[in-house]
Amino acid sequence: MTAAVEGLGTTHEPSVLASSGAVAWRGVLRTLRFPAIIVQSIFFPAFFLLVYTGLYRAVTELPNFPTDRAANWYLPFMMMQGAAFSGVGAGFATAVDIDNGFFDRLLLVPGRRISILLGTLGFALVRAVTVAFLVMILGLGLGARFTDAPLGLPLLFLGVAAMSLIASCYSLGLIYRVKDQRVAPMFQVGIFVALFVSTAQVPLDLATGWLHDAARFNPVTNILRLGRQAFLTGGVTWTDTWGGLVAVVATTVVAGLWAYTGLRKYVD
Amino acid sequence: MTAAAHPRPSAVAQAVAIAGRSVKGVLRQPPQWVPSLVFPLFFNAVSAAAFDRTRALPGFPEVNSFLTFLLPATILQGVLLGATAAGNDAAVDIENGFFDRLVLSPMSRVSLLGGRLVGSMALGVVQVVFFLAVLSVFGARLENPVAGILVLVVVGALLAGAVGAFSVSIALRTGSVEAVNGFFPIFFAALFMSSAFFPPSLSGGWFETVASVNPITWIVDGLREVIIEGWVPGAAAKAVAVSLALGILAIFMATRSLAARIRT
Repeated sequence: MTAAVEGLGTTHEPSVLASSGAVAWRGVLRTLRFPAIIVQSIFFPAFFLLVYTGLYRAVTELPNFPTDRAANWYLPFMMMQGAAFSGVGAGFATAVDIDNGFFDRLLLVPGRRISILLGTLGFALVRAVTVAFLVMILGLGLGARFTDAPLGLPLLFLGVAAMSLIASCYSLGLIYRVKDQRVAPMFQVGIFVALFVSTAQVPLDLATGWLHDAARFNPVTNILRLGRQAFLTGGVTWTDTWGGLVAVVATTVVAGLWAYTGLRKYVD
Repeated sequence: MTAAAHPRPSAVAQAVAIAGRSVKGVLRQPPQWVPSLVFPLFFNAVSAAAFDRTRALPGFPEVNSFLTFLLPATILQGVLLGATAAGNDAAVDIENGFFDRLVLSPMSRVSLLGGRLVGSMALGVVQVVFFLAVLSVFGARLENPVAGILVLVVVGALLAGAVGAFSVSIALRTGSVEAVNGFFPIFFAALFMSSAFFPPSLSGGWFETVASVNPITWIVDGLREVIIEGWVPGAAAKAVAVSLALGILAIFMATRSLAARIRT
């Protein structure tokens, strides 16, 4: 029987790239079929960008604030917030798949299981970049202006991609371990805390008390510093870049390991 | 004979029973009430530490800390988050058929609605007291504590009733938990487009215009005046009157939705 199956020549194991692509494409199709998913991902960053640029306009008048435009300060954060919540969306989608049994069927498909993780991350990345791009267009409409687009823009989108991967891996690692949809609110809570206990709202020098201390050690602060250079006075500098690059690599690797070992635990 | 053995309870007793059920229903599901306590406190803690230096900006109200400035925002945020539970409960009852059984019972229609709103208001009062207790430990100050607590509790209860009635109205119209939750961003947007988190006079531009016509701003400004300056009858009356007006409007909507639901 095995020989017969082998003889068919159609049951060979697909490459990791092909099966990851298939998983990612499924996510893209799901989004195209339910555009509400992408609308939801855009709503909160777009809404908060609109509100923050209006509400906290006067904050830029504080001494040493690195820009005179509120939109310049808040736009990169909102792009990364949108990317992070797109990553959380990957966790939600997997939670639904686990709940309705589709995930277990996916595990039975020939091919390496890591493709399931990589495909989900790939889909989250596509969604995150789309959301970030649309939020950026809105931000430019609200008055944000580049100070160093050629170098700053790639770094900004590197930060966006990193936030998407980190948030996806965090939520996937959690759902692989807990295997219960009811843990889903913890995806948002964890990401929300990580995002806001940083320089999300004001520069580190202007933050006071516990927030100043906590934000210093939060890698999100460095990733934001990296991404914001496209919009701040002075443009891109190595001083503001290297810490962000280290934070991107280190946090993505740790989050990736968290998700991968979670998947291994699920399979075992 | 049956009627004599089981006299029909008064409308008040019925409302109390429904309110008790509503409160117990919420308490049994921590995911429904924990975020409404934790999220506003977290946001207050982060924003107070982030924006404390903005108190030095010309035109910022004189206040001992940004934490105190944010007190009304924290309370309103908690109440808005918590009170939607009434609508969720009503939608769940409709989805699982329990609402139809309640309608078929000899229960008064007023109790059916009133009970849920009393439950919402009770939770609103608990939230206000909780927020005041926690934030006062971290430095929030009321110029006149007795007047401040009284006004905050009354406004908290009225707003919880208003939001509860609005969310129950949506539940009765749609019968869907998803639809009730879908309306939550409206409350959230109304709160952020107000003076809750920063003085609109400093923001200027379109934001100041929008905030000035937002009823939430009128409530927040009234509460803030009472918190910072002490007993100011005009400010207290403004906060209470606007909350009451929103409550009456929401109850009117909920009553019409209930009538429409019963007709179908």
